Amino acid sequence: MGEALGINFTEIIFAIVNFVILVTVLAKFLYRPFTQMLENRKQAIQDSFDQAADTNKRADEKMDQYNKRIANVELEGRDIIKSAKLKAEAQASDIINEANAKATEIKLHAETEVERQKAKALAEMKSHVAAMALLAAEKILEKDLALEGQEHLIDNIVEQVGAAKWQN
Amino acid sequence: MIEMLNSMGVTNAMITSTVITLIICLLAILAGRHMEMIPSGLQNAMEVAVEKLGDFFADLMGEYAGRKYLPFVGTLFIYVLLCNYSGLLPLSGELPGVQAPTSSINFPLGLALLVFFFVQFVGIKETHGLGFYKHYFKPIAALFPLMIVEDLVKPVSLTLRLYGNIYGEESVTHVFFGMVPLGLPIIMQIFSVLMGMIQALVFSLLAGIYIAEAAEHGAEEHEHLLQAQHG
Repeated sequence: MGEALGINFTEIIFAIVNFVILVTVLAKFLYRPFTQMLENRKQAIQDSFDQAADTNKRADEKMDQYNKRIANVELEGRDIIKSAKLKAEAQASDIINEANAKATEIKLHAETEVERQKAKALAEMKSHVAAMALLAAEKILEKDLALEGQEHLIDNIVEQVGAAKWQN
Repeated sequence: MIEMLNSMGVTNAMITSTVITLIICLLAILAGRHMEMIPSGLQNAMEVAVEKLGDFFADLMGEYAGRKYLPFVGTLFIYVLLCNYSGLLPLSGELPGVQAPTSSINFPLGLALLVFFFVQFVGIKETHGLGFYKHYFKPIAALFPLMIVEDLVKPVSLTLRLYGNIYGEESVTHVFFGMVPLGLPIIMQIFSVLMGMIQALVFSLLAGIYIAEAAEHGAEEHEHLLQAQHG
């Protein structure tokens, strides 16, 4: 029956042996190393992706830190400027106040001095004018007038002169 | 020399099959000898082939069985494909020493028997013993004879499908070639390319399904293990 169907046991054995050899060789040289290689490569790619993601994350963190720091620095700078301005303003007003006080003092001092000098000058002038008036009166009257008893007259003259000339 | 071999009982199909085996082995050794992380040339081509085959059988048989038994079913596909395509060689069947091995009933039969025994082996291995044969009595014991017949029919159907298709196609091409030596045979050859591919695919696909059925138990266990690992 086998013969009629063309069945030949040598060929069957041959087919099986060939195939078994093929499976053995391919498993050893193709499937196992290639599967391993694909797995390794997958792992390597995954690793490098993970690493890149990690690096990116770290860079982002650093960036955030720096941004925060820069914002802080700006704030700090503004604060410093503000406080410096405040200080300077305070200092300026201090200086102005001091100067004003000093100026007032000087003015006061000067005024009193002027008053004093004025009084002194007035007193001097008074005596000079008295002498001159006396001299003039002597010339007019062509006689000596006793100084005593005439103070009222002299005072009167001086008063008049003073009222006219020293008013200011 | 081929006549001498023929007279010693070595058929043309056997010679072609041996040459194919040697060529594939040589290619595999050349490609797999110096593996590099960044592939090029032959390694690249082989990698693509292995990966595509692996994905195909993993889709078909499930991730576990597909990857585990890829060397068997993948080689089955490559071997049957090249055996079919050896019939495309010019004057195949005419020249001494050149005949598509699958167009002789013995090669499909040998491979089908191998698949049959491999399925038994996988079943016994994955279910840890003869418990595998309990499936003959499920869902009801009365179906036992039918299940046996079903299992025994598998290698026969594998054999006859592959042998019949390739033998028929070879014969038709041969007849057409005798009738019109130009033009028509070329169209037939183009059909043969498709046929050879489909038959190789069907053969390895069915083998893969039988193996996946037998490996079901192991795949379930594997699944549990994976879940336990991740959960």
